[in-house]
Amino acid sequence: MCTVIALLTSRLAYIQIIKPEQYIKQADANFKSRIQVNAPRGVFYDRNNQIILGNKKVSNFVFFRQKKLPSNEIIQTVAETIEKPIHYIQSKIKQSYLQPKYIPIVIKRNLNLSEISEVENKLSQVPGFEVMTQPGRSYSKGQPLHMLGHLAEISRTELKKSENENYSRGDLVGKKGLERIFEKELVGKKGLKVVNVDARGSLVDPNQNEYSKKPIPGHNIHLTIDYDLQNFVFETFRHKRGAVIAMDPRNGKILAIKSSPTYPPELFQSQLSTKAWNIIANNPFAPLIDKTIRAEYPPGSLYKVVVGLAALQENKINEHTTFKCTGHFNVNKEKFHCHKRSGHGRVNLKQAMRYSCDSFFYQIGLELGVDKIASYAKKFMLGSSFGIRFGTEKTGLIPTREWKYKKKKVAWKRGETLPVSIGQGFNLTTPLQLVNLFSSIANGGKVWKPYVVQRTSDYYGKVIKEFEPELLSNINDINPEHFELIKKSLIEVTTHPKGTGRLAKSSITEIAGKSGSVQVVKLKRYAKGEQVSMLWKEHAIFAGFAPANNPKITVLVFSEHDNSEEGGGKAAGPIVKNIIEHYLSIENQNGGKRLGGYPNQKSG
Amino acid sequence: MADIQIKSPADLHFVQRHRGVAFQHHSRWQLPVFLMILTLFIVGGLFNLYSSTSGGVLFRSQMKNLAIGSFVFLFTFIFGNSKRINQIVFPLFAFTVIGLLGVLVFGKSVNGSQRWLQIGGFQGQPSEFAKITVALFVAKYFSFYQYFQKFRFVDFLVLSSGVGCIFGLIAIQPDLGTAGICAIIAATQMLLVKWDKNTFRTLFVAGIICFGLGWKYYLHDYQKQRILTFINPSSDPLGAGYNIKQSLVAVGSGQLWGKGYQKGTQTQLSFLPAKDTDFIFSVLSEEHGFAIASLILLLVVALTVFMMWFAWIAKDTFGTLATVGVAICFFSQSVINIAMVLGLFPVVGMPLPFYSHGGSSVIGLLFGLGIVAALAKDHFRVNIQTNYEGA
Repeated sequence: MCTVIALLTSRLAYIQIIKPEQYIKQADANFKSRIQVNAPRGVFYDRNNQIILGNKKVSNFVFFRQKKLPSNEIIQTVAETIEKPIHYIQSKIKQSYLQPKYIPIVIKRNLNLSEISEVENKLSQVPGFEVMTQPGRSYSKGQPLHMLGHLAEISRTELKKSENENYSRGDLVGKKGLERIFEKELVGKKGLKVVNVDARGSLVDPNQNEYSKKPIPGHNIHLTIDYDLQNFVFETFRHKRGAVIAMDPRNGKILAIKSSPTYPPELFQSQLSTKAWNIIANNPFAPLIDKTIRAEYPPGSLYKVVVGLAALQENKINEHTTFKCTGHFNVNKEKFHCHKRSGHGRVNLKQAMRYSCDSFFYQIGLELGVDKIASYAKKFMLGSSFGIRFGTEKTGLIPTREWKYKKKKVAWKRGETLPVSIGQGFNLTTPLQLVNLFSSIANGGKVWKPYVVQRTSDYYGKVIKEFEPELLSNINDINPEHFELIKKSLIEVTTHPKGTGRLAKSSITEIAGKSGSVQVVKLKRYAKGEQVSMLWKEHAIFAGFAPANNPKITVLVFSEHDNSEEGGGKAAGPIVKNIIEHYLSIENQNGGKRLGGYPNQKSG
Repeated sequence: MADIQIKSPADLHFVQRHRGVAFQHHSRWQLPVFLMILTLFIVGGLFNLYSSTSGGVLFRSQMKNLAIGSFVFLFTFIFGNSKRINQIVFPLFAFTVIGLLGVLVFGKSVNGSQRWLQIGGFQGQPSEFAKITVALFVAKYFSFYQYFQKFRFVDFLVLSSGVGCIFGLIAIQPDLGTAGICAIIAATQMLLVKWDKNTFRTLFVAGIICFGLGWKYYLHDYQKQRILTFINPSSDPLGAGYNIKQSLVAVGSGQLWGKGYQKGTQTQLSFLPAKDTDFIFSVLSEEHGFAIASLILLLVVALTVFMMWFAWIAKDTFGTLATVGVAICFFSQSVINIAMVLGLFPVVGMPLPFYSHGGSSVIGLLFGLGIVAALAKDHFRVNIQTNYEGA
């Protein structure tokens, strides 16, 4: 008896007094659970400190793990109700069993009202599935969505990378656009909560709100975008497709940028159903492509600006040199038509620009040769990327003899110079390159790097990083008089009663612009049905800057499949005019007051 | 010594044994002190159970059990004496066997074993009373003979068929812990009657045969698993090993002074399994630390020592053996339970007397202790008389 008691007492003493450390540690680990709390993501401001893209509470469809796995029928119903693939829901449910019971696993984000009611209808009786409000991005259609990009759940392969060690499963990361480029700045630092849980994994005190480490909100991004203008662009371009860019020609700041059609960014936050993906992917107007930088089109008649400038500088023509337009032009027995079949008669540069006469530019193009044209185009950085930050640009293509020989192993034909000199043929440019071309014309040969991010600031408004305008090149080997001449001829495009851009004539300011249209020849082979016949239509382009003598804004409208007979001036011209007028009116109203200031200094 | 007539060798033995001792320890303090310690022990258990159950249903039911148990105790204590108790042994034996048979036929199955018998609104575990029955039965058998000197093989056969009957009925349920306690009680009593190589050898061989047969034909896989887990705890970290691990964590994290009443995280957040029954001692150790846990051990020892003392000075063989039986019943249960909680013994369903929740256990034990107290009272009465004689 004594032995037994001695044994028990010494055992008790050993566990409780001599070596209790491991048990104390285990007891703590048992009931203390660490929860990571995501920091609020940084916010995008416009140049007047209006929030462009912020955070709001969104309704998410979540799953809390239950004792029993949901049955296959339940998973089937859930999959049908929220339109997600079954294997995706199964993987989410599996994921929930790796986490504490009180942490919800998001299955679908951003439910709208009808989805919420459907989920409540069908799944309110199913244990574990719930609709919960959680922080999320607040999207609206007026935002420059392609440029901002979207968020998506971090993938397993990304999670394995060492630089992503701060992320955990189910976290959202920027997958496109600025959200991706500035991911590190936007994401902030996670907070930590230590909560008490019982053996069943339930929270002891569900209202426990003390952080052991507070989350630090991500840095805010201040854009050069003017949100008023951006919204206006959205309204005026609402039912059209293509790209609109407004830019300050004095420094390369992008004031508004729009690629249309857009896609709902919240769709990509959790895995798409095949159905939804098919709808987006099969859309003939390619909503996923950022058409401002990722779409390459022939520049059309806008290219005539470059050809004209080249001819002037190379002394092939002067202001008064005229060429005859008979409606067509023959090279090697091949007939090249002017868009006006009856011809424009004898025209000089100003008139040719005003009427967008093709024959005139065929002839000066032939005199210059394709390589000379290309060398001037490259001065304006056509055919190369700017290195902008919100996406991967396409470079476009400015054809030369060397390029053709390398690519096609065939020598350049003389006749091929003709379409090139009116911006068709092999030429490919992106809308961003075109708007920058017109900005350079407007400011007399300075090629600014287009940019959207002015600065980043932290949660308290302290500036972290400032981005200055960057001059990529200053074209000083072209006579400024030639720029002036081109500018004057561009003014006539809108002011002359017969100019192709006469619909863009503004009553409050002088707009210099150029219309263009792009043939969509290659699409003819899809000629089936009504919709495709619409796809046949040419693209309408109009680029303009104003006020012509002291340009403050350059606008490019690239409206796809929107050409009525008259070229880009009719379809795109009025839009450019409206945007310019709106911008100048808001500029005049508020003057410099709208600029500057940080969010927290606004009240002062 | 006037009223003691020497009629039998046992009586002679009694007189011889007490010649030097009884008169030296004539005062009456032992029984009251024993009762005080017992009350302290029981009240402590009640407080502890209140913390463990957060004052819930189980606590209230334990209060009820204690009320009934106290009544049984007082009744036995007041009306019991050596003779009367001796008389009720066979009826009690019969009742127990009937009860155990009833469990087998009508019993309620909980967690795979059939231990509960429901009569009207009451339900109970006859096996808890069977321990006391075994103690009384063995005592009664030897008191028939009044011989202390001889322990024959025939005795062993007779006893083992009687005790084996109860043992078997409990083992079939299956309730290994209780059956084992029965065997321990009987074996200890036999050894007490004749402590020699022969008895020891017989019991040892019987034990080995029992264990061997049991392992081969009777033990469930989970029970074998428990024993194997005990031998190698890491073999099964989440099954049977989980309980013992959480118990050790609870005990160890209690340290010297404990985490405070109703503040044990292992207990209050339900990490501790079976915290109201088998692992109640972990609750105590976690919330009150080594200080109180060792005190409880001390109380167990004190109660046992007092009972041994009562046995030593008991009036007759029956009194000695019955008291020893109850003492062993109390002590072995306590020790096995605590050893189990501390990871020194395989996990068997073994309540800690008066600390674990359980109606039959409380009532059965209080009945047994009532008998001990009644016999002690009987003895002290004799003792007092002899004392007067001597004066």
